[in-house]
Amino acid sequence: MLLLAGTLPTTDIELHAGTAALQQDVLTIGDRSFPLTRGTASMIGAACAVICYFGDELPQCVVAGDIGKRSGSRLIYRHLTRHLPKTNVTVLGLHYIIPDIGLHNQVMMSIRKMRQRPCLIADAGFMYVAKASGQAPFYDLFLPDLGELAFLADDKASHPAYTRGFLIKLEDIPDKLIEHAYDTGNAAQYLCVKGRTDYICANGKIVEKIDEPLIEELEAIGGTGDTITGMVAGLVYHGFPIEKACTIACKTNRRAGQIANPTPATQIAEIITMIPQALNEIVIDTSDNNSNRMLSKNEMII
Amino acid sequence: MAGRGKRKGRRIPSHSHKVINTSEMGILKNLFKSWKKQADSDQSQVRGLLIYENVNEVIQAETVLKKAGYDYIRVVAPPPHYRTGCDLCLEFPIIEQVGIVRTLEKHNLPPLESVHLSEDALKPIEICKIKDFGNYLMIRAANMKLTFEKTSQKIVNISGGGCSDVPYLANEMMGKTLLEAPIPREIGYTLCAYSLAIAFEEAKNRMGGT
Repeated sequence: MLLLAGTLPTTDIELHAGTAALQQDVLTIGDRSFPLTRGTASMIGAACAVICYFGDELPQCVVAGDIGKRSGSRLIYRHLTRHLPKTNVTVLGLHYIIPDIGLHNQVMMSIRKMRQRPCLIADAGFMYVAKASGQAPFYDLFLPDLGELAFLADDKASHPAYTRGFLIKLEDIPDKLIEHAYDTGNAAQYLCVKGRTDYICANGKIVEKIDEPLIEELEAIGGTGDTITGMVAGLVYHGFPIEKACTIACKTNRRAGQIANPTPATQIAEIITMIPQALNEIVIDTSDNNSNRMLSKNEMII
Repeated sequence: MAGRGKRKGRRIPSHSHKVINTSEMGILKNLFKSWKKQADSDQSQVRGLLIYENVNEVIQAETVLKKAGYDYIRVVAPPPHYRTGCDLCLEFPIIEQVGIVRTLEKHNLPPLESVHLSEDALKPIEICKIKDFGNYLMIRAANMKLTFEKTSQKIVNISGGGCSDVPYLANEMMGKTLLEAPIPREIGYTLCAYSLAIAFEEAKNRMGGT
């Protein structure tokens, strides 16, 4: 099972769980609909696009309304802590949430109790708290942008807002930041660094750089990082190894952006609707070079 | 008792020291003044932290204190044993604790705790990076990016961040001009909101303090 969790920007719902589906620019989770906006909704929407393309089982989602007051975030932490040991989740995507080290550590303890540990993918608030708690290496994949990479490289910062100036200056040399992040034990096993050039790293080494097509406007559009996270989760669930999933997701995101012909004012829903077409092109292109051996579901479980 | 009180009498003008041969005493007096000033300065550098439940309360407390004239207080990271991963606290000169706490209590913002600071605390980033897209300008502060159209000054996108109020802030601010948009410091709750506020203020400054 692919499980995706994160908060949504509303006060209308408390905890809500269900199967996700995407129809045009409307996301449904169980019996409720949500707009396809930046954040958790974009991650789930992009994952659904990938899942539908391959005809896999739709993702299960745990969401909660939270506009920053922590209540929804706490419900998600507690739900995961209580229920994860009983589930058969093979890929777990964790996204927008208010960092809370204590509650995060309880979730980690529950994951350790699972019969088979799932592939752990974290972005946004969940990546922040994973790093702040000192448990980054327990995760399989983090997906930072350059600012967040500097935060991972700073062993003193507990949130990207506290990243020290000398590390921010290194944003022009991402290789150094990647090295720092791994050396200080603040990186997951794999990193997918999203930016003008996307860097895919495995166990401390950069294994792939993707810089084409370059669509500068994507950086300004809220949700373009969330879509990569969602696509990676869907691709890993389908059976792609993490490195390959990151490569396909980054290329697909760029291509979807290119098809949408965006301006800095374009909204993320327009790009998500282009994912199936872009994914089709990238997957065909990738399978041509015959290097994307799928993993069986058993191989996928770490 | 009268002998122990402040003695009345005329002060010797400083230029008279030479005349009455007490100029060395004047030097000593100046040295003492200088030492006292130094001591006061060191004391004012002993700092404490005001701990709050969430970032929003810290921002409110900062606003109240700055309005009350305590413009040298700073927002910093809490010490490790108070950290949740998304929090701020206020650093203040410990010598001013009574007045500061009283001011906060008057505004119904008493801190959860006031603690002594033993080492330098980390400060939030206040530097912005700018990217010019021609008709649009993107301002980045830490992990938050705000993009607006130059002519209309309308906020067209907000990206980055990872705390739960970021999508909420985007919903509230996008489509509005820099003048109309709510201030992230006032409606946000997290460090991401704090960073977005810095980008927002920079955007306003760039457009001539709209």
